[in-house]
Amino acid sequence: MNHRHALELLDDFLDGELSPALSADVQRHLDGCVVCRAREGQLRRLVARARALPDLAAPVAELWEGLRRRAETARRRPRVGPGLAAWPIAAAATAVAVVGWLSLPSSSPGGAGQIQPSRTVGAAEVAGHAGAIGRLSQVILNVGDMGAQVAFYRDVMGFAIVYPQAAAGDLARETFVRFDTGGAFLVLHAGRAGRAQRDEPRLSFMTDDLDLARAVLVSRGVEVSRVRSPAPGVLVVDARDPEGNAFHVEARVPAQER
Amino acid sequence: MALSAQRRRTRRLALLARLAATPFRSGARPSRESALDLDKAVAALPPRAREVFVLHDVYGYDHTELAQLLGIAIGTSKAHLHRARCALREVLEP
Repeated sequence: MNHRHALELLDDFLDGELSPALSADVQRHLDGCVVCRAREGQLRRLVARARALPDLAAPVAELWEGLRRRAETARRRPRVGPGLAAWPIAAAATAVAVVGWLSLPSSSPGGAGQIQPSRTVGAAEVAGHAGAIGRLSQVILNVGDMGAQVAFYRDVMGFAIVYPQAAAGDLARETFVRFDTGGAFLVLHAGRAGRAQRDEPRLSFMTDDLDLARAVLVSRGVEVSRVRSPAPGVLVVDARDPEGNAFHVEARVPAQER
Repeated sequence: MALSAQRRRTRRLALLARLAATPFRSGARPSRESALDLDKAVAALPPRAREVFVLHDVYGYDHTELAQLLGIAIGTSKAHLHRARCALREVLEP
């Protein structure tokens, strides 16, 4: 096998896609070619790093979002047979999605779309499931005017852009912009049954100094509510971003000051 | 013929659903710095090469699955992966 041919086959060789005979040919070439061995080492290191890519990787999040959209498009097509009849029609637009959650229809028991589990999970494993799903790492906001929304969250709210890198330029044409806010939690509020489908998800920012945070927002032209206390020890102000997404800034009052 | 088309379609949607059920990776992680380097380099790839690279090398899908999932030929999937790996290799180990 010549050098050029071996280089062409390296990807398939690494991925185990070659026949045993061809794979042995590539291995023989590698044994005698220092250039190809170096290339193989580079590729192996790259793949190892990719396998360990952390969940905060921006391209991954972006990719999931793209696949979610594609899945929704597929779902909107007319159904093709009885096997897919159980697929529900879901809301086309979701104001906020959690990364890792792909909006897909569930299938009927025994239906053609049934997904078989790839392995059997034991009861002990299920009982010790804490942490299996991972942490909520971010909240996604679907925006209409990226330029204006970036300006708001960067310049008014003061969050640093961590993706894309060239954050100083015009980001109006970006499809994906990530801000570092310092952390994110998912919070469920009970006792609002009548509003469950009506109120949009709300972004919540935690501050140490609510008066200061409120003053900063007001000075930047944001209409902010007066400070209210929805629960003992909790103070919040409410506001909306330029596209009407509700958020609030919250502060906790230490017990001895209540 | 129609049945075969429906099977293909069902399989593609099943793959998407499996992807939906795949949790984000946790556990052993490279250093933050090295991860961000790769993160940035992947972000700079052309969209299709990026999709194929992430699904193949990060999530472990094979070319047959990718071809169905993305609606492309297996050879095309391989070509995108090759392109992505070459670009990333040059960025990460110049």
